[in-house]
Order: sequence, then structure tokens, then C-alpha cells
Amino acid sequence: MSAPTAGLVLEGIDFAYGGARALNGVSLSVPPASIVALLGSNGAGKSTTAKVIAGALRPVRGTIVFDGQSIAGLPSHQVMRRGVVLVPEGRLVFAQMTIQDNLMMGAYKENRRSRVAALLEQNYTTFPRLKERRHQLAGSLSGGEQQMLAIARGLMAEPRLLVLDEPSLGIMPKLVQEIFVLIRRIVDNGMSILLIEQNARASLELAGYAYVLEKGQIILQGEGRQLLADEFVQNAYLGTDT
Amino acid sequence: MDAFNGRIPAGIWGLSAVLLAAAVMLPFMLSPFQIRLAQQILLFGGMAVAWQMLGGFTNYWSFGHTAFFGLGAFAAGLLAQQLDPSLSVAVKLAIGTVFAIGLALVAALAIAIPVLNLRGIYFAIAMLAFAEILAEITKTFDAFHGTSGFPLPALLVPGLTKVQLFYFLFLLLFLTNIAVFVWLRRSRIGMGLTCIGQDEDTAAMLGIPTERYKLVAFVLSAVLTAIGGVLYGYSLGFISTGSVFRIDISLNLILYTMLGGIGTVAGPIIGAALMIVLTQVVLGNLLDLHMMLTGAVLIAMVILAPKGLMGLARKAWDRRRGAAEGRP
Repeated sequence: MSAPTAGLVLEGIDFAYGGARALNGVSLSVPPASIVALLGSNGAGKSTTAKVIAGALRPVRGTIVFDGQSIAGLPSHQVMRRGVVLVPEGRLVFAQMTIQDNLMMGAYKENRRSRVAALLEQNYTTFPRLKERRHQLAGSLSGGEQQMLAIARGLMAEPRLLVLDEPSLGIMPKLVQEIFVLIRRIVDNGMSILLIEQNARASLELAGYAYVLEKGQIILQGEGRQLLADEFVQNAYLGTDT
Repeated sequence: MDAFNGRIPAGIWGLSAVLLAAAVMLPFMLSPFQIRLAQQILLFGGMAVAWQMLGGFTNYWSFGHTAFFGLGAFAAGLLAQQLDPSLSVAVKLAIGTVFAIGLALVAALAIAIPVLNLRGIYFAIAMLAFAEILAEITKTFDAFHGTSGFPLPALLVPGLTKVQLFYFLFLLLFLTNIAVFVWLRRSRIGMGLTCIGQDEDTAAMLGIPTERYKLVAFVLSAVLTAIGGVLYGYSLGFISTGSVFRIDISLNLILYTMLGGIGTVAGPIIGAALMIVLTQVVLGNLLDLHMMLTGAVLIAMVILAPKGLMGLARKAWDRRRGAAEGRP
């Protein structure tokens, strides 16, 4: 596989909700086995970007290439079969199903029972908390635990790229820490991650490379540590708690 | 799989066998009026099970299933008039059923493309309108004889009275519907549909081909409902638009399901049995009152027990077991 086409590459993505422009020429790339952060405030177009990548929304213009193949305009169930899995914002677990069934649904494309069992075991090792409560309804979990379930469910699909949309949203700080540690571990296993976050500090510390989205446009990009030191980023996203 | 692929317990098989044996013997012990009641429970309870194939798993609640019911009755009835009169009635019924299945299949596929993209209440309204349109067509064009009505050939089998005969035909369809529903619920499609019911966008994101699964469930449901229409038409012997395109049929299917417990096999059947006995026996002499009662029951169930009687029973059972294990 030639270096420039491996991983995910977005180029010149435009998207509009009806007449309202949401993305304006967004270009970004996520190389294999890396963490890339996409930062931005509310309404900047972060979730729209995530949905466009996952095939839930069809871009008006632009190309999306994953490992050398175009995935722009494919329906989401085909995008995920190519190895791109979105863990959507707001930890959308199936509340009326058990934790185990939720995980099973993550491996929906997998027909081999033995493979599903192995994946399940693997995820229970990573998320022991979920194993303890596997026969409970997912709706009974706390917010942070539901987020873990959503991530674990994403991992059940054996993605090569995991798109995490705001995994720290509305979760208590202690669990946020835990989730970020997990993200680190996932990448160590060779997956790449596009981390979409408002929590700029934690994401920049984790990410090799980061983009800042503002009103549907990429206004800034650079290495994570470098952006952390950037004056604009500090003022706009890191607040005064320095 | 936790909930989907578990073995059906021996107790359920045993109970089903006992109930089936009882159902086969009943028509030889009951009065014709009682058999007629049982007929309706089998037909409409069975059709409520068919309605559930889409509405029970997902939030796509069809308020117009009488469209397929009437379509089946009209297709088989009008075809019977065109067929060679020397054919036996059983053959006419068989050909009519196949024709109705084909027609329902085509109609369901054609309507599915626009309506299955409508979510929630919009789907419900679109189906309601679809049923009304079909009803109007049969009334407007003389070729369909919808206003005046038309007779269907009388099916006779030696040794059985007419009510007994149709009782068994309805029983056959009833069993078919249950078998298809149970198969669907335990299949990958059923798992996918359950996820669609909880969150369709997330389901699509997990790789579930949501459009295709909704289509399969809708078409199965439509075809089985159309067969119900064929049998019902033959059992009446004379049909018109007013007797088979009936909004109360559409609504009753939903009511039975809600009353008994949505997503379960027994729920719609129990719901149908209760409502049919209640409206036709208890309130049999107060014809105007039963629609009002139907509405009241529906409202009460939606508010007090959204999971129906089966849901209440399960809750009571869980509580008793919880108490036995010393949990609060």
C-alpha cells in the first residue's frame, strides 16, 4: 500500500443542511495507527464531519478515501464494512437491550460465532466493568459506562479506523480519564482514531496531529503538542484554567 | 445471544401442543355462535401477529393494514368470477390465494419505497391514506363492484359445517403467522429490526441494512394479511368495499397488540380474545357502545401499561421472584 493513500483522507468536503452550509471545503487525513483530534466549539461542524465520514450524510462535494478506496456517498452499513466505524455522539446504546446484546450487535457483520465469542471475550478483558453487568439492560448503566459500552460496541466491528464523537461529553472527570487511557490502548493495537472533542486539553495531549474546525472550515492544524502551546488555541479552547 | 437465539423452553412447546389440541377439538364441542367467536379470535389475533412483524419490532406502525386485507379479499373474489365455472371452489380458492399473494407482494413493494422512508407518525398517516385510496378505487370504478358488492363461491367440505370449515382455515393461517413471526424474531433480521426500533440511525451505523430489513418485514406482514382477506371474503360469501376495507380492522390489530403486549406472540392473541369476547358477548346488545369502549381501552393501556398485559404479567412475575430471592 502506497504511503499517501493509506488511512483516511478527506478532501474539499462541502455539506449543507438544506440551505444552511455546515462544512466548507474540509480536508483532513488520519494516517494508519495514529490518533488525530478534531477540535471545535459547538456548531462548528464536528459531528457533521463525523456523519459524513460514516456515510450517514452524503457530502455535496469532495472526496473521502479510505485505504485507497473512495467511500464518499456509500451507505453507512457499507462504510463500516470497509473498516470505518463511528461511535456517535450522545452514547446511543440500545437502552432496552442487555449489555451483551448491545455488544453482539456491534459484531453484526460477523457471521462466525466463534469469532464473535472471541471478540466479546477480548472486549470484556478491556472493559471488565461491562462483563460484570453483561446481562443488565444498557439503559441501567451510568453515562460514562454507556460511553464505554458504545466504544466497546464499536470495537466489536473490528474497525481499522474508529471515529469517536465527543466521548467525554457529559461524563464525570474520573471516567473521562479512564476513557482516554482506553483510547491510547486501542491505538497501541494498530487501529487509528479520529477523536472529535470539545475537551481540547486532553485530546491534544493524546493526539499526534490535530485540526481545529470553526464554522465549517479548518482554520488551524498542527501537531498536538504544538497546538497545545498555540496562543489562539489557548485563548479559544483551553480557557483560563491554565 | 442472550435474548435472540436461546432455545425455546420445553414448557412452551408443551403448552403450545396442549393449546393446539384444544383448538382442534373446540369446533366439535361449541355452538355455532361460539365457533364464530373463536373464528374471529383466530383470524384477527393471527393478523395482529402479522401486523407485529413490522410494528412490533420497529416504530413503524401501520394504521392501514386493512388495505392489504381488502386487497386480498377483492383480488380472490373478482378472480373467482373470471375463472372457469366448472372448477371446484377449493381450486378457485387456491388460485385466488396465490393471486392475492402476488398482488399484495407487488403492492407492498410499490408502496414500501415511498412510505418506509417516512418515520413514526408520518408512516402511520401514509398507510391510513393508502388504505383509503384503495377503498375509494374499489368504490369508484364499476369493474370492482365495490359499492354494490359481489358474491364469492361457497366452499363446502363434506363432514364439516361452514363455520367449522372456516374455523380450521383461519386456524391454519393463525399457525402460519405465528411460525413466521417466531422465525423472524429469532433471525438476524429480527435482531436488526429490534435495533431499528430502538434507534434506526445507530442501527444503520452498526452495519444493519435497515432499508432491506424494513422491506422484508413489511412485505411479509402485508402478504399474510392479504391471505387473511382472502379467507375472510370466502367465509362471508358476499363482500363489498364496506365489509373488507374497514378502518376498524386496522385499528383493532393495533389495539389487540397493545392490549396484550407488543413484541410477544401471546400478547396480540390474548388481546384479540379479550376484546372480541368483550365487545361481542358482554356488550353484544349495545352495538354503538363497543367502539367507544375500544377507544377507552386503547387510551387506558397506552397510559397505564404500555407493554400490555404480558408486560404487567412479567413485571408481577419479576417482583415475586425478586421477593423470593430477598431482593427489595
